[in-house]
Amino acid sequence: VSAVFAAIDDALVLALAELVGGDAAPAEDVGSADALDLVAVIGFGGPRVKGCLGIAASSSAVRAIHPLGPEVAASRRASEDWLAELSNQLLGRAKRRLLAHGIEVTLSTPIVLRGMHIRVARPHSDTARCYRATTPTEPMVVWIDITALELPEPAPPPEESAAPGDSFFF
Amino acid sequence: MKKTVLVVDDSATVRGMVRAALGAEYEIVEAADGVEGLDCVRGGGLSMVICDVNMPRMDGLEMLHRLKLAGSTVPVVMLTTEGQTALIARAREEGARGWIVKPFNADMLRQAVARIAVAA
Repeated sequence: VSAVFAAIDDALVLALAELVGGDAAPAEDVGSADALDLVAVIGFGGPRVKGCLGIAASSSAVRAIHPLGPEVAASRRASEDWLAELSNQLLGRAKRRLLAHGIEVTLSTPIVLRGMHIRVARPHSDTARCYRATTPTEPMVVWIDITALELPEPAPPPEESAAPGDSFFF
Repeated sequence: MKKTVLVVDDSATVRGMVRAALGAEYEIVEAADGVEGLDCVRGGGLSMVICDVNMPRMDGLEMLHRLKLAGSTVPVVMLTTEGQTALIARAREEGARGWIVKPFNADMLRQAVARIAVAA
């Protein structure tokens, strides 16, 4: 699992900074903030690993970074929708790195949970990594939890994949 | 008269981003998954479809497959976080005309749609 994290760590930091538009860095812990009230979770799985990626954020942070602007993002549904899409795009970047290391996974569709004063428990340090990104309001926290699956067959060869922003026409 | 573009994505935000990018030049119709997307295509009048891959109920590749089986000639461009070459090859086999990896910007999308929809 540590090799998997080594493969995706910088990809997630870069993607988080790009998508959120602030500074992003690995964090020791997900931490907590009273303002956190939204969590998006997206799962993934394949022959060699399974796990999930989560994002905890405040509604105000999601509104502040919403690509359609704060007026559109003012609705509860719009904030939830964008946080779900962020989790999808972040995991998409991680998936690309995993493919380059011969690790194939399929992504689920994300779900969003809403609460009050959300405090995310510290993930196990040997199976999870945490990241923190600044936003114009409260920081956003991301964690990815990975479980290696024991399988007898050798790993498939690394696969090339298209990069974010690439386009192809047939 | 404006040409009509169908955008199929389970994210209302992404549908809104596509509408913001193309709405001045094209009529935009929205669907939240492949099932709704198929219904829209069956309704006719579309110049092009922009379609996500990972969606609930029916994903974009399944929708593409069903369009091919139905003999649809409406050009489809996939717009997705997925970049796996095997998926891109499958989409091409199923008749997709293009594949764009998210994130996208408005200029990129306008150019892609101009290339596909105008030729259609």
